[in-house]
Amino acid sequence: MTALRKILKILLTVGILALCAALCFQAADIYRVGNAPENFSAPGVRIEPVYSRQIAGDRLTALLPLFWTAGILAAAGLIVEAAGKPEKGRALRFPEDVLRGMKSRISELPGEAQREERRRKAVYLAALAVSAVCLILSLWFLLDGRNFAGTDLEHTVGQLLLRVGPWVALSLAAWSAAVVYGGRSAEREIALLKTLPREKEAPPAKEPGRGRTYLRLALYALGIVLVAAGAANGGLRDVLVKAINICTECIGLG
Amino acid sequence: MVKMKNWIQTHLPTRRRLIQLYAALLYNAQLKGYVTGQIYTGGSKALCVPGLNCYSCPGAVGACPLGALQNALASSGNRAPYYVLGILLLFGITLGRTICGYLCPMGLIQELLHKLPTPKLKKNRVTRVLSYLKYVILAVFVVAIPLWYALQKFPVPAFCKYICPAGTFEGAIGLLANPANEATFSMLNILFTRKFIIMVLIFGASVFIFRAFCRFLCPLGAIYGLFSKINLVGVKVEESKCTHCGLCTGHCQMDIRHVGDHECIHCGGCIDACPTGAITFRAGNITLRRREVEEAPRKKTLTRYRTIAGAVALAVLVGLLVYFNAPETQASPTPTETTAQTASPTETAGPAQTTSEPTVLPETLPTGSEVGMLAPDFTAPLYGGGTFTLSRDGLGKVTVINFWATWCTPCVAELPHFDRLAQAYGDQIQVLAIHSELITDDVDAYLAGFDYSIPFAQDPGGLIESFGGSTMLPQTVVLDENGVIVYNQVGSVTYEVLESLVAPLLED
Repeated sequence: MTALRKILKILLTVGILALCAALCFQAADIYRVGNAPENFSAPGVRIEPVYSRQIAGDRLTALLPLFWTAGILAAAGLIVEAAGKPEKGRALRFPEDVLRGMKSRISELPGEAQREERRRKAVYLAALAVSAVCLILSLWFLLDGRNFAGTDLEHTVGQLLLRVGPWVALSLAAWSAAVVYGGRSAEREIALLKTLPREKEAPPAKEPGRGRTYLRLALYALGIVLVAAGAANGGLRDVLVKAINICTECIGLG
Repeated sequence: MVKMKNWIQTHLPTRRRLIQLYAALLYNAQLKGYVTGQIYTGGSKALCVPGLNCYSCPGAVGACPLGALQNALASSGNRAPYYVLGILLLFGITLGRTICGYLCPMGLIQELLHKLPTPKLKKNRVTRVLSYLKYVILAVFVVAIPLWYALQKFPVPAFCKYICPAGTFEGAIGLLANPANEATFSMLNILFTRKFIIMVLIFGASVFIFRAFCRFLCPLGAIYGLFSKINLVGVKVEESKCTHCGLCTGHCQMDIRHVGDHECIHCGGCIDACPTGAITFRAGNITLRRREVEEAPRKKTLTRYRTIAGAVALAVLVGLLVYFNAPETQASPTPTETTAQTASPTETAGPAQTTSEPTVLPETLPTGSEVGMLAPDFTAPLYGGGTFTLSRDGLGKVTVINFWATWCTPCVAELPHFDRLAQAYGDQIQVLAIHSELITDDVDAYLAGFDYSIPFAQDPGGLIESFGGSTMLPQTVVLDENGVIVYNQVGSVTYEVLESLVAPLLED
């Protein structure tokens, strides 16, 4: 049963990946054919539209064997899963989270653990610095109104991806590297702390104060006032009008 | 027998799944929309639903809060977006990301896809970092771009337009799947191709990664996550019982650091994982759910309450389904019938409606909205004074009519093409831009910001319907010099397309 499960899982994975790839390819290919020079009678004037029900139907029909295969594999996989014992997922505990629990019971960290903690903090600070630089460079683009002038949104979004995307990616990469280091560092610290005797129990829990309740009440009042003000200034009608009309571009139609 | 009973019990849908299905059905209660291919246009659409559910879905009976927020920000030059911000605030304080766990159809779709038995990519440190990407998307696509373009009077709901898989799946594909919307295919191009590929990638990723869209991309989840410290309903940890063992975060499939943080969707999966029973699902001070073993003593009471709640919920759902799917009392008018209504000056109510001129259009062809038919005569008030009557001002010239609205992105983007066309062909053609009858208080201010030479009119009511339109904008109609329709399409047009339509008519 386990072997069958594994085989079905692998086959279904291949099936789903193939189906996704085929769907993406068909969409891209319809676009390519529709925008090929042969389909233009004059600059900007197409002979046939890029998509039609016929074209979409034909392309999807070509994928029917793949749909059927993936569907049958999915059904088989689900039946085998349901018939067998349910797989219990193993709890995935990050060392950082375990360390937080351990530290709540230790009053004073040993020197080596403190040094480990300092190193970890330094790495996080470095990641923060990288992110701050990336943020400044992104804001440089985002806060410049000239980058959003004109109605050529394709160009604007393209520029946005080119000029802001890399900084976002760099920031995420820096944090990923920092947290990977942080995880290893936490593992080393856990090993150090495990050798210590259990000093104290968890600190006594704080009684929840009334501050949160007051904050909630204030925000509820603010929310109700905002909704009333919105209904009065026409915001409610704006939502209705947008919702009962289809902005073709907004849902990706064009 | 016992084995079978156990098997059924373990494989029955959970209460959370039932609530998810219930919410999805409630948001999309206009089931007849899937048959007719038309979206719901009733007053309930002024209310935002809590979850991500495209309001252009044929079944949707409420507005999407994220779409409404973007449009409110995009229109913030005209009025402050109080209503949507207030609604989001109320949803956030009350439920926070409990909405993601229980009331979001996109979450349901992703969880069902994740049920497919394939190898799964579990959460790790990198996914924890990637979970912050949705805040970047919120800042850039939901806030920055709509606000920047609002300054230029150009409404751009960037997240809807470039990313939202709910819009592609429920809105675009939901409409395209219906044969009644066959003509809509002709407007598809790069935008649809790109969004379709994004949707396939997101759904594909959801099979292998738990709630891939929610965790990494969804700006609505990012907004609700901001309320994680104060939301009223959700899982809470009783600190006095917590031993910081980490089993709760270990069992969670989301990228949480601790229970109830901004990544927690309050699904309650951790409640039974907690060995000390420190986690409960609460609404304020009322405990709605605790560990199964602790529920045993009050099982009878709970079952009674749950049965009552279930019965009420079912009654509400049935009532709404009947209400939203009740057959129309009046048959929808045929194009010719509508035409007759619109052409009649006594039946067209408009702010500055004047009597129409007697029609002089040839009557050998049927009047209607389809290509080859005679265009319905109409009179519409012009911005800046006067009226436009087709039979008076358009006849004898090639006439280009554009239906638009200030709040429609592609409409305002293509207005310069019509203006350029009018300037290029001068007196040979007549170009008219007709604003939608809905939200007309900002049109004068909008037009004052531009130097367009074409006349702008306002739909006196029902005019777009007489040209076969309904809820989709923009729409362009081209008439030959006899008033016969030669082109009538919903969707954006380029200058080249307009020129290719007009030039042959002038040559004839």
